[in-house]
Amino acid sequence: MSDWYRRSLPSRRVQLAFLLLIIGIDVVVAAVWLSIRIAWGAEAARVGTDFLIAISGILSTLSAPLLAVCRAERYPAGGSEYAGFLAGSPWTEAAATPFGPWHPVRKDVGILGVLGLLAASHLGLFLWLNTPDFIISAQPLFLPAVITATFLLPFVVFVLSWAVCGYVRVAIGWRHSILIPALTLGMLLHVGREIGALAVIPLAALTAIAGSIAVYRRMKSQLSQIPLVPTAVPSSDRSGRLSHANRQLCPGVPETFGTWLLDRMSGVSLLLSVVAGTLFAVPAWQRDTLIVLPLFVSLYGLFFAGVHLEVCAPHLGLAARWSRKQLRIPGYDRAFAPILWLALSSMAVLVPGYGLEIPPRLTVGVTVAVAVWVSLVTRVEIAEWSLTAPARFLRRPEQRRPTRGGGGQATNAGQPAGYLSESSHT
Amino acid sequence: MISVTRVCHHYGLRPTLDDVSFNVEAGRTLAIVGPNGSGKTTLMELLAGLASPAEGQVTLNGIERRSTVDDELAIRRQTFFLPASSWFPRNITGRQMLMATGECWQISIRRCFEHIERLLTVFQLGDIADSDITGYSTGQRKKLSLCSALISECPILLLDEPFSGGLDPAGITALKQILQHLTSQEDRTVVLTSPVPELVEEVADEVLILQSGEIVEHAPVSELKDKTGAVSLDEALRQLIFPETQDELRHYFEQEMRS
Repeated sequence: MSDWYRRSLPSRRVQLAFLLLIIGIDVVVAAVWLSIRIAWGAEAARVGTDFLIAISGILSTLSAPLLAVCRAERYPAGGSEYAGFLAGSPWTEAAATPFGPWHPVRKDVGILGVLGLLAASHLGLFLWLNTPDFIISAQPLFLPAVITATFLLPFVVFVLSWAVCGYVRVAIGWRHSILIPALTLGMLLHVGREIGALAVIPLAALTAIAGSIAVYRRMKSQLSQIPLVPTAVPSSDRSGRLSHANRQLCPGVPETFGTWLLDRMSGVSLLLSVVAGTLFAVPAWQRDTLIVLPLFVSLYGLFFAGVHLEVCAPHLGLAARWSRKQLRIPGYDRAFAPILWLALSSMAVLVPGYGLEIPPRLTVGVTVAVAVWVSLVTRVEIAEWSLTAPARFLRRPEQRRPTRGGGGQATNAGQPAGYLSESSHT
Repeated sequence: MISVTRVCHHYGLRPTLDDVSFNVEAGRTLAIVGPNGSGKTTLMELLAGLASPAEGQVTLNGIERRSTVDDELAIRRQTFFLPASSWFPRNITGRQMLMATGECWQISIRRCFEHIERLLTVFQLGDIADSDITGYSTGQRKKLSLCSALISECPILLLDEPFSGGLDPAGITALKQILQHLTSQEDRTVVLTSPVPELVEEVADEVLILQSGEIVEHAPVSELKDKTGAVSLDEALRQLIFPETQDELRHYFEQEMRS
């Protein structure tokens, strides 16, 4: 157990500092509360201590993202020295990483449970000191619901932070990704203040679970490449950059503005999501304007699909399909299904929400969460797509010429040079 | 057995290795020596499979390096490459690092425990074995990296400058004797590099001299000394690689005296 702790948790100094800070503040709170109460009475004691209790509670909740960052940092990202070490050893992704886990594990429940208990007890104390009359007169389920939600908060924050850190690590290899969960947490708190803290936790939990599943799959997939790649990767190599599977399936395409855009599509998506989320969360949106959301999602999806087709596979692009009178290529278009699902799921949430007159901000929050979930989970994995799609769309390394005697492979007449035909559907 | 056949390699437009071929039999120690920038580390990286040669091939125990995934993994199970400056994980103790390394090379836990204890004692790391690696000195880190190479129990050890990096005399002696034992008693193959010939004379069975990416000489130590009439490997190498050094020194001191 102690070995696991050392491998999985932040350094002892950081652990000790956090623990001492939380306990220290609690001791100070108790001492201040007792002395003020003796000297000036109960009301004065409440005013003097609630701020310190809040600080202590926030600290115990913030330990969860710290743990998540620490865990994500143990991921042997491509090009790192850790990946180099593994690539020189007989390690394969079937075995655990030798210097500790990089993903959430069952033992985390214990630590997060303690953090949850700390946070919940602080909240209970805060409420008791601040609004004892309200608690007594409130609905019977109010206090248990609030305490349970607060207890679960470290779990949600941990998984969400890990997913975000993991995504950033595989996307751009940025080790100091702690700022991202901090930003996300800030946004959640902001939105939470608007629509109620209790509503934010299930939304965040949904996003965290979906995101972490998708990120785990992506990280695991990248990990499987470590034994295969040479470790002496030049610093200019950009293969570690996360781009859409479509871009990875068309190597050898000359660098153009289109490929530049495709390489950064994940980052662009993230940025647009943040901008869209802020736009929908901050101003006072009316119910009539909600229809903009699925429209925005659909247009973005169409733009993305169009850029991909014209850049990577012009022979399967819209113009080529129109000329061949074949608009649908199921095997190939399978990769674009998430875009359709995204638009449909957005509509599926928005329309009932609109009809039932649910508060717009709550409807938008749920729509964003569902859209994120759908886009992350329904995505086609590159390995599956490249191995099972009936279409042959990989670029040929070099054009073969027919050999004498007719035994050679003929070039594909009518296709742009360098591409194989889309065999099953043409 | 290690076999290098007509290997050429270059970084950009600068050739680093040119038509390098040699064999190392099992149970032998080959020391690759040469001046700075002669291509020693590049050759070690090719042997370790960290890069593929631009031309030629590297074969270890009959399997070509970087040919197929299964073959490459089979080679990695038999090989440990220790770079000149090793990577160390954070927030972990020396003992844990050695345990994890042993697990990577599929050494049984019981054997790991026992072997680690002996290695830590030999390299005088016992007192700090359970401390975080970040607190280790440069020499202690070097000793730990050498221990990790030895804990893997690989039949082929590729050690890039194992005697450099702050290793103290006790560590140098321990490493020399352990390497001699591994080759003579356990039939393991060791390839190591060093810019300082005195350090490898005791352990090396053969010496390969590299200069500007080409092999100047590849012969047993005794043969090399006989050939040059030198009493030590250091002197033999000076004659083969740096024949002009003595003249340049003489000229330097003459100028110094005049001024």
